[in-house]
Amino acid sequence: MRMMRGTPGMRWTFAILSPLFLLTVAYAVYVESNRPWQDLQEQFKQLYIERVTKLLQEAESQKAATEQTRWKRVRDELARTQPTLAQLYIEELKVVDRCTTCHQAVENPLFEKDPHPFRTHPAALLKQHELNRFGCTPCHDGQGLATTVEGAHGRSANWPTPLLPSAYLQATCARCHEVTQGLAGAELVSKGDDVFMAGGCYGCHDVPGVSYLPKYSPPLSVLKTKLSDPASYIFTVAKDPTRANPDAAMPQFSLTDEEAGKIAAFLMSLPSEPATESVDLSAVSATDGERLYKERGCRGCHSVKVGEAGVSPRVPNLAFIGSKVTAGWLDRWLKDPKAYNADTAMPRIELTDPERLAIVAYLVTLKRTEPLDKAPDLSRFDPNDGKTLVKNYECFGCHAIPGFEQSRPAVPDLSEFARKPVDELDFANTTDVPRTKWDWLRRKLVDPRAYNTDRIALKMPRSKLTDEETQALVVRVLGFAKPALPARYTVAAGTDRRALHTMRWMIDHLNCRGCHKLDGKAAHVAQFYERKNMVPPSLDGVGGRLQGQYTYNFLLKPQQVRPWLTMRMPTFGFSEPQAQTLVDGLATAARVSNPYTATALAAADQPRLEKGRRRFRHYKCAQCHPTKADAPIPEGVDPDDVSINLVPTKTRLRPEWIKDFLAKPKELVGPDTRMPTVFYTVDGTPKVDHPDEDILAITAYMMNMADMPEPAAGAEEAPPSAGEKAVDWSNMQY
Amino acid sequence: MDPGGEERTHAAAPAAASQSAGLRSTDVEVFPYLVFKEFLAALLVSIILLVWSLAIDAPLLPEADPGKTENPAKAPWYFVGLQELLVYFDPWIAGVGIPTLIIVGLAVIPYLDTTRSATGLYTFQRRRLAISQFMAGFGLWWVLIAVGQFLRGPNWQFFWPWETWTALAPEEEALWSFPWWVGLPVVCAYFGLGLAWPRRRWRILYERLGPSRYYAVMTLMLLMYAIPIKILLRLMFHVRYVLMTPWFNI
Repeated sequence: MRMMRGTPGMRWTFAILSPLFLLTVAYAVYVESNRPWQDLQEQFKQLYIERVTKLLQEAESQKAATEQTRWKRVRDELARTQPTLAQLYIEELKVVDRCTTCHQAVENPLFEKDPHPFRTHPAALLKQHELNRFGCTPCHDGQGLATTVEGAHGRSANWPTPLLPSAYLQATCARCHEVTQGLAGAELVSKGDDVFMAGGCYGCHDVPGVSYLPKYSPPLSVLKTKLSDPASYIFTVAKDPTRANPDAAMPQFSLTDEEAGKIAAFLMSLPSEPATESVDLSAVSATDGERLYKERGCRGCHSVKVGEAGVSPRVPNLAFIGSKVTAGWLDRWLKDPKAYNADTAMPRIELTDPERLAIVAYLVTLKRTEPLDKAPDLSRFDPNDGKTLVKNYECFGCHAIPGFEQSRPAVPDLSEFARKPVDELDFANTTDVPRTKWDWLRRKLVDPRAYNTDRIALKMPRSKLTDEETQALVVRVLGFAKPALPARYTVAAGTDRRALHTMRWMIDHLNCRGCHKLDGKAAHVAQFYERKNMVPPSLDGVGGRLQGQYTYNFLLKPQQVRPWLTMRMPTFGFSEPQAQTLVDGLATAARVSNPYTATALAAADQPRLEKGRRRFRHYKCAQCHPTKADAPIPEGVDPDDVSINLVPTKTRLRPEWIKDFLAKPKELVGPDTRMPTVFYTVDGTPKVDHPDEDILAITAYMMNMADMPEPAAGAEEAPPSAGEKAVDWSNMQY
Repeated sequence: MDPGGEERTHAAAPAAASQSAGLRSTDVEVFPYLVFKEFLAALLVSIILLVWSLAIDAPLLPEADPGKTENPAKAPWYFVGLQELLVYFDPWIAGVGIPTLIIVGLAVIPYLDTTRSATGLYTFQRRRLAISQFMAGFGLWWVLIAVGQFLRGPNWQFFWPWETWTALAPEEEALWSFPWWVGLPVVCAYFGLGLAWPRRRWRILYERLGPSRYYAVMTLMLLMYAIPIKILLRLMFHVRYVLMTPWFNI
């Protein structure tokens, strides 16, 4: 045995290494058997017991026996629980999620205000996306199987789907919901969709559902007779669109003088169109023009002041229009914008010749004070170089340009961006962008050339975006993907949702918000009027207000409904399918169906109609509402009190809307309405004896009424109930 | 009890077994002295491995995708040294020539080192040349593996561990080669001098080995040292090839 001992050095080393080895092994066993989630579960257990005990005490003090038993049982059960790994297994999705191991309160309503990980999941969302059917990672991403914080949140290197931060979480809605507009909880991704469309991103980036859209920007084939100094203008705009118009919607391409010159040379070399005739403006006055400009609602969309925004950046600011275009072109444009550019969003305004000329005379006085950049001598540039640049920068994505009719921009396809792994994104030389898809996107939108390198010159231009728009766009682009989940999970858009989607685009494209209130946001033109009834009607809920057929007819051929307005619904030249899409979209937005209206409400027997007629007269509806066809605006009435003609009601309004509106006008169309609350107070107390019966009778009557109910000769009708006074709305306090 | 004294006693014991093994006064038995040390080394390595496995998780590499080449694409760690050689040599030399030489070199060791005097003795003194040269080659191999495994990033670019990997295209290094009329004499001189000079300097070496073993050993050693020399030439003087011929370049 003595010979086993070795040297003292060996024995000392052994004396150190041997316990060290034992300790390391023990530590390894300890670490592997004490996972961090066990501590969290223990913490949660204490927290839960604490909370239940408090509830139990409350129940005891209130002597609520059922509650006491309930909380006692919960507490006893809790006391018995041991830490266990929780796991959701959804075979259909091939999902194994252990998130609830730590996020224990997901379905527990007692923890709504607690910090993560012990917070209740928003209940409304969870109700529609049950845990047992959806799991966690299909919406949130992350690594469902992992049981450490870093691992489960997918932050380890190379995990393809790290947990989406809540700021970008809505991107996942679009994985299943083909159309997100109108979905509660998907506002950001819907806004992103609107920005994507309204911002013209679709000009270059092809995503599903945009191939039917017209070019975003005006054609460049006919510039020479439109612009008064085409060469300088094109040169200036190509270099920096904001130099020509500070509010220009065109994004910044950051071209050099040389490049801008070449592009100008190319566009100037295109074959010339027939010259526009010059117009004689001597007979009209610009002052009249300015008045007409305001009266006819031009300012609903356009602005004539530098720095004052129009309804959308896409609508030209007219501050310098007199320097930009020729009078002859303006005249031709106003006469029929679609004749010049079939895809234009500008509608045709009904104007007489002198009116139009007056507006032209006014607009040509709006001149710029400092001159444009002088274009260099274009003859020294080869137009073919310009053509190459146009091809390179893909100007034809937004503009129609002769020679590029069949070209499609060669840009990254975003339609599968959701599935693009982050290592396929080129972060180039940047060191300050975190290596995530959303941070990459955000920087790309804020500074599209940030990922330029010596070898790769990027060409995406810089658009003006607010922070919120940037975030919404990031969310939208993160969500671009064909549905990958089983068909049972995806919510394909039906005709109604598709119509809603297209309608949202049309509303932005055609600048309906210029004159109409929408999404609770006042019409752009409303800022110029103090009197609210001078602004065209709100589009919020309009689908539920108007009968589909009526809206359809109106869109195709607008008729005057509010004769006191100076503005008129212009002619947008909708095709029948377009009108149908709009009507369907409006109906979907208002959650009603087309073409059906609730005829049961309109069907009524004679006694009820008679009752309705009497109530109609009794409540003096006609005091504000004209009830004769073609009735003039009544004189001597407060202009604010003039309201809509009720004669076309039966083909115009939906009876169920009339019923609701009579009961709760302010709740239905907002606090600004001057419609008095006749039947109920604001808190829902009936003001008359049988409000619902009266409402039904009046509704039925209005759906059958042909003309003003003639007063029974000489006789004042009996009030509907004893002691009720006749009403007079002329002294009503609003 | 004096351990030092014990050792002496042990070594000086006139036991038959000790004498038959030809123990000298400074020698000690394999058991327990060497075995104990080996056991301690095993213990230490076990501890290091345990701590390492506790501290660092197994890396998760990108999802396998036949449509995508990973960057950097690294061989299993034991082949990374070979991969690292690809930086400095043409593929067939780095991938075929050098490994073959290594295998052949290792395989012929029993035929080259026929000394019996050190059999059963685990000591550096008796085999200074053999052990030091083997350790030099072995060390070179580990250095190459360590560089390839830990210090190479995307596009096989060099990064220190504290630098972040960026997927920049490598800057084209301006390399130059020896013209053949320089390269040929240099290579000839290297081998000529490398074979002749030790023979004069350490006559005993030549005498012990005999001409055929001497030339075989020296050729293999010179080939081995040619590898770090070439690497240093490349790193310090940006030399691409030392010798360019119509058939091969080295």
